[in-house]
Amino acid sequence: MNFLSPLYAAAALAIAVPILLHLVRRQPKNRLAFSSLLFLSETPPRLTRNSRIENWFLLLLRSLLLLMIAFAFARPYWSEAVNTTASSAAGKRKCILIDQSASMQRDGVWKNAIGQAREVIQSALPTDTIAVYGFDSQLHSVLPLSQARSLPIGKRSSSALSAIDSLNPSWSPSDLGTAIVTCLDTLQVDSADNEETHSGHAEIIIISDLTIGCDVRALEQGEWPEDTSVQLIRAVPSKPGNASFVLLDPTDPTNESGEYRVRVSNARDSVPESFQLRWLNKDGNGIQETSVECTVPRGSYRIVKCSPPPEAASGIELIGDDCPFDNRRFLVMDPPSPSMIGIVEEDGLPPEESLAYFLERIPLDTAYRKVQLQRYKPGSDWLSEQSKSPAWIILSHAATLRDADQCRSVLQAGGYVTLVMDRPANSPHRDGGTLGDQLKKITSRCTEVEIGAVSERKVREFDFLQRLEFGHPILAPLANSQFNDFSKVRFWRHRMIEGWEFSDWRVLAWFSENHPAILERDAQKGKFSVMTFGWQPVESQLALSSKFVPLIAGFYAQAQPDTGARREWIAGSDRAPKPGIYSDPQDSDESRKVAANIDPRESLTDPLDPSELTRYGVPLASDQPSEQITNQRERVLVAAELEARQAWWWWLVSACLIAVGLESLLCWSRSATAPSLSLAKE
Amino acid sequence: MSQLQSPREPWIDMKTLMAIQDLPWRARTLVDGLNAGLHRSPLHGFSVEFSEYRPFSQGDDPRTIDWKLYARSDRYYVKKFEDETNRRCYLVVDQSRSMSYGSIPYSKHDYARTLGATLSLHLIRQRDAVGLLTFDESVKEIVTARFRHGQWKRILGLLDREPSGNQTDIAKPLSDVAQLVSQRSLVIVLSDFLVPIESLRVPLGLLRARRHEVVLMRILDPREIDFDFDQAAMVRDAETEREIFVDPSVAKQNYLERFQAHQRDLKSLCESAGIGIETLRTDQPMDQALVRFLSQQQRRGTSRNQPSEVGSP
Repeated sequence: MNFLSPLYAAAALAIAVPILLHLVRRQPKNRLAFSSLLFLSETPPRLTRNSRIENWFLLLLRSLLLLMIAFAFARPYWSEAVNTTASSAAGKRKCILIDQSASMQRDGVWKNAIGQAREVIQSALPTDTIAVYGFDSQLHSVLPLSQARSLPIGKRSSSALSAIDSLNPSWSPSDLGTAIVTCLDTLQVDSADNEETHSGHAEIIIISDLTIGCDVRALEQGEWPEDTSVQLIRAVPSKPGNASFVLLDPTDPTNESGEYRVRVSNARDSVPESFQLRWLNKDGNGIQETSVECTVPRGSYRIVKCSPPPEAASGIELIGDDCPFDNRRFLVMDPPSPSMIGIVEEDGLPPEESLAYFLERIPLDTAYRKVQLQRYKPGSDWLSEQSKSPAWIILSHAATLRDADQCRSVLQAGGYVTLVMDRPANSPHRDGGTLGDQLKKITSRCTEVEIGAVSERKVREFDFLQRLEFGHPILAPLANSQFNDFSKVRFWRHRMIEGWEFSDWRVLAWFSENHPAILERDAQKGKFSVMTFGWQPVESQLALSSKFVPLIAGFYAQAQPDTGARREWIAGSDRAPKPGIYSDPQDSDESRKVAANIDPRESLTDPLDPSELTRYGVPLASDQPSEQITNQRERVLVAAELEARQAWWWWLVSACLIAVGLESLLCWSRSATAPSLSLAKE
Repeated sequence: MSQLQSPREPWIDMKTLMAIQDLPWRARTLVDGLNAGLHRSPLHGFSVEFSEYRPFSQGDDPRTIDWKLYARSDRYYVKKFEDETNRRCYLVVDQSRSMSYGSIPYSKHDYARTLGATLSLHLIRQRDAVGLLTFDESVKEIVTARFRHGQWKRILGLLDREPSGNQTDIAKPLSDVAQLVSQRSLVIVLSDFLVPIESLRVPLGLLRARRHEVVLMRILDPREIDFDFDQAAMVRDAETEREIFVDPSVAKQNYLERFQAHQRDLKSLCESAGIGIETLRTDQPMDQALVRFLSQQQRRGTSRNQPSEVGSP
């Protein structure tokens, strides 16, 4: 005999109650007045030594009643052989995804992960199909589902175990979202391929350290299939916590001392709190003289200033952290590369009329580049004089067609040319004609596109820039609402161009009445832009406004995009499998090296909340192996069916009702015949 | 006790009265009074009862010199006579709820008021001024001791009231009696004295200090003495309404021990304070007990040589 809800049987213990009540001497119902309780003390109710024989039957009846109620609620049934549906015969598809990202390099994590994976495989049924994948920034098939399916039933778990042994952690960042999505695709393809045989339910078992550095954003897309669940198994490190650091950009122009700022973070569960930072020499050994002490409390970060790197330093190292996998970051110290801006403008102009005068004063130098402004005489053969082509050529009103021809070759080399119309269009040009005609010709010569006439616009008092295209890279640094107000910058005069609409110019800014202020277009391999105004004070307030420096920096960044950034790769790719210093095979200059470091996200080792995944609709199974749950659920269903068929409880409840009736009858007859217990008060 | 229901004199036990009418309740001490009566007066004067001869000394009234004796003995003697007077008696009757208890058809209170009425009639007949005080937790009613017409009816009227008090606090009423009754009196307290002994010590001492003659008439129900219950019951205190569960088979022994100890203590308290005490069971005729008690009193009262007061200066 079995019980459907055996816990209810515990109610049988309630028979102790009537037994006790029978044993306890009855509290007398009779009450008695007495003159004084002065000499009386309360008698505790006591158990009778001998229960009277006539109570036995009543006691038995009441005990039986309680027993039967408890028994009925426990839902008893006789087990019989039942034909359960043979649904589970085909087995399940289990995809084991093992995290191989850099954070798995921590002490003990990988071992723990492999151990857990083995447990999962060993607890699987022989009929289950077990596929093994590794993932870091992408999913790697080790034992793919199609291959696992083709294996004979007895060999499936042994193959999976050997597949796991072939896995090793890499130095790549972890993209859990992409791994799950790719695995889901694989499962769907598998379902479609084996439509007639597939078992339906699939399970993705993720074995990972599940840090907050795991990228799960890829899960945003798509619906979660119904028959697939996810089980998360967390691999834990032998030592908790981690300290990490990031080099902040040393190109910060405010940092004149050349100090490097390093942000050192400490995880919430770390033990150590004081660390040292020191530079590494070119052999990768620490330079003790450069070490800097810092104390970072758990769960917070500090900005530490390091001394300027010594010559031939190859990186920086953090000492004092229990978790060494991310304690070195490599750095390539290239000397600043020279870069050039050329401006075609005559000498000897007063400052308020000169474009170059204001350009010279803009600090465009960084630790990686040295920007030089070169003034070219209009009409001279300036391009051939240069060993290296300037990145950005600015043509002023003095530019001649000869200069335009040279700009064409600059554009052909992928350079950037800006024509600044910084004088009234109706003023005479030294080559004859008006300046407007000359500008039109130069534009046409450079871009091979005809534009309409360039004429002077009559500006009433002043005009200002409006409808700026802040999405464009040149203006993007000014997009923030703190900086994007150009209405205070007044323009006393500017030019207007006709017919620009017929070719594909991009207008970055406008004056009033739909007159373009800044236009840009691709020209040959480079880009050509036109400003219909000049920035010098005779033309506008732009050169003296706070917008000028970011605007010119934006133009320069457009002209010379690559040089500003430190060259760094993320470790774990094919070209840089682990952190270190590599030479770029694509770079023509072989002396130029590239540092490869692990993704800073991998250093964030605080545990990820699984609810983060459920937010994306991932159905998480509990930590208990789902197999057991399903088996148990099936057993319960069978038991419920049996119990419902046999319906023992019904008979028991009926017997209870009869017993209640009998008990009431008995009590009634006893109370009717028993002598009154009341104490006679004479 | 059929006399209890006598319609004419409801609270008088004629049988008792008959039994005691020949037993005058003499005062054990000297008694102030106006009317001539049974009791010795503190005043000497001219009366029939000779007291003593005393040699004349300067300052004595020459009228008191017994000239006959002078003639015989040639010495001046003063002849002294005893004066007799009546006395004041106060019946102090407990009317708290505990007195309403009775395991027999009448209660302790019925018994007490019968006794009180009987005694008062007896005392009035022997020309004493009788007063009445009833109390429960405090003094309820008072009839000043007088010897006059209708006094007894007044007393009966007060005795007729049913007990009402929720608690017995004999100590306070007794102290009040000591305050209210200034002249030396006979104070007869009719109560069950079911209170802690210690609470009685001070008020009784106070009464004695006021030179009252005090007699305690303790009226108890036979059940209170024997505690012969046979079934367990929730026992409710008649006064405080507190209920406790009592199983007589367990509690009886303890009750009896504590009751008898209380009885002993009360007795020794009375003895040490010079207070007379008589315990009366309600199931026993009061005449026998009273006769026994009064005989003792009379023996004491008439023996004039015995010290007049016990325990007082």
